[in-house]
Amino acid sequence: MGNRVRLANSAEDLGDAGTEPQTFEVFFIEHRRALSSYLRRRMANEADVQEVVQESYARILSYGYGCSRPPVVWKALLYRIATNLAYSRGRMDRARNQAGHLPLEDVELVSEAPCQERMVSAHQELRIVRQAILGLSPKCRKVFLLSRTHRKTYPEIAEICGISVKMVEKHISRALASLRRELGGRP
Amino acid sequence: MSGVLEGMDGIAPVDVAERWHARLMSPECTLAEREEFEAWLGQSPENALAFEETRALWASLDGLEDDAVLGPHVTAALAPDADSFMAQPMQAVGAMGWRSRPVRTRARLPLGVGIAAAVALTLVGVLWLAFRPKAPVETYVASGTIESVRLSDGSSVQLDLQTSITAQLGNARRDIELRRGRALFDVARDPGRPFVVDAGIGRVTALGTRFQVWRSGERVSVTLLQGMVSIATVGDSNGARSLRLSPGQTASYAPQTRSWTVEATDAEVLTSWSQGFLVFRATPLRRALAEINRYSNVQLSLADPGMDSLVVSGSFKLGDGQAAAEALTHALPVKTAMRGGKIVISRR
Repeated sequence: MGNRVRLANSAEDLGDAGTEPQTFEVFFIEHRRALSSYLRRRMANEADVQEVVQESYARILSYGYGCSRPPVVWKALLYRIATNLAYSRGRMDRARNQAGHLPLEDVELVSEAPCQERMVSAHQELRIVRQAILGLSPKCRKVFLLSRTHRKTYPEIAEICGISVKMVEKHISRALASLRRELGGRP
Repeated sequence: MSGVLEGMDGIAPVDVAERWHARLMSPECTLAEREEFEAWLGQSPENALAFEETRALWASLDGLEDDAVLGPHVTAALAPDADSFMAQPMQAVGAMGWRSRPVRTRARLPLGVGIAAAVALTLVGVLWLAFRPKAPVETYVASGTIESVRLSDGSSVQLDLQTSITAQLGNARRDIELRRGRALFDVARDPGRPFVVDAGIGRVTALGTRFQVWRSGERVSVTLLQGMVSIATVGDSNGARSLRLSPGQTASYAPQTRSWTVEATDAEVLTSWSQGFLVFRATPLRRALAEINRYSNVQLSLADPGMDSLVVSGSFKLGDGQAAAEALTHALPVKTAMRGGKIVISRR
């Protein structure tokens, strides 16, 4: 009996039973709860969590959820979409806290200071990001920074760098591939 | 087959996704290619996942300018490459301490977790919308006069005649719907909360900026005065089919071809109504009259269609059709006559 319960749980958590076609409704019900708790670990506000859950499923539908591919693939996409959405909202939560909207007593109670382990991991991550960016060829890095950080258009970048618009595109594509290889596997 | 997919058979979706990501930002990317991209994206969830991963990577590399090591590279990138040996600031990574502000990395929020047992939803689809917690929706309408509206986030909006908008300022997004008419937005900067104007066919996302959206039936045009906006065609939820404007540019959507064209325009002319004037620069007379009539209690009309070749330049005070007609007689070889409560303009 206990065994059966555990099996059902692990199937839900790992999605490794996800090879049989499912209707969208079944897919929705199967993952909604686990996705919600996954998001609660990243987001403070339950309303935001539910909003991201709903938005993620809506995006899955717009990507044409269908039975031709195993549910496990859709599940991976669902979690990736939800993480992307939570990430963009998470930044907002953080910015709000930095702006000092919390009364002082609350700040002390719910300390924003990261724990040791988290700090180490953030530092490692920072080091990896720096190395990845510095590892690009100078031209490629320049094009990437002009696009990503300065939000310049390709023609603007082409002018600054004295290269063709097509070349700008190639550099961006190369930068992405290189950064992905360096940074891949991050959470 | 486009350049993006050429020779990509048997290559991992993520490689293709990266090429698309780079291609879609290029002004050289054609409509046909965008359609090809849509097809590729919808082909399999693997492709969609690869593209979402690429977007995540791109998004995560935010705020590099704030980093002590990368900041100088970010600044140096702006220098033109006339001197191709332009010194890149070389600093050893290992030499840096950790006192800089960290680059933004993917969120691991150490925030308290509210555990609430969610009521099980048994219905999907449209019902979600009903459950979604919503900020109040406010409606603003300008009918007979130009109105100025201040939104609670500090943004201001000028509404042209016959214009109505709704505003819903949520925690994650500021949603504006332009139901009809023309509005000039002055958006208060808030990077965590995109300011999105939905004009039926086009969805304009602003990043701290001043721009105008004009919706007339299915026709939509967006003029950017300051800052940056991206425009996505509604129905394209992944936002990939989007275009970006530079200040001074106008994007117009043609319902016949279902496509956007971007051209350099005189933004001052296009938004002069918001200053209480109409400014024309070599504007065809018929079009100028239509604009003047919008605001005037006296209507102006042309005596014969052959006058289409005349063009008008100059500025006219809004609302005073009589004065505008008078001014036209000085600027153009025309005369005016009152007929049936209208001012008819004919060749002199």
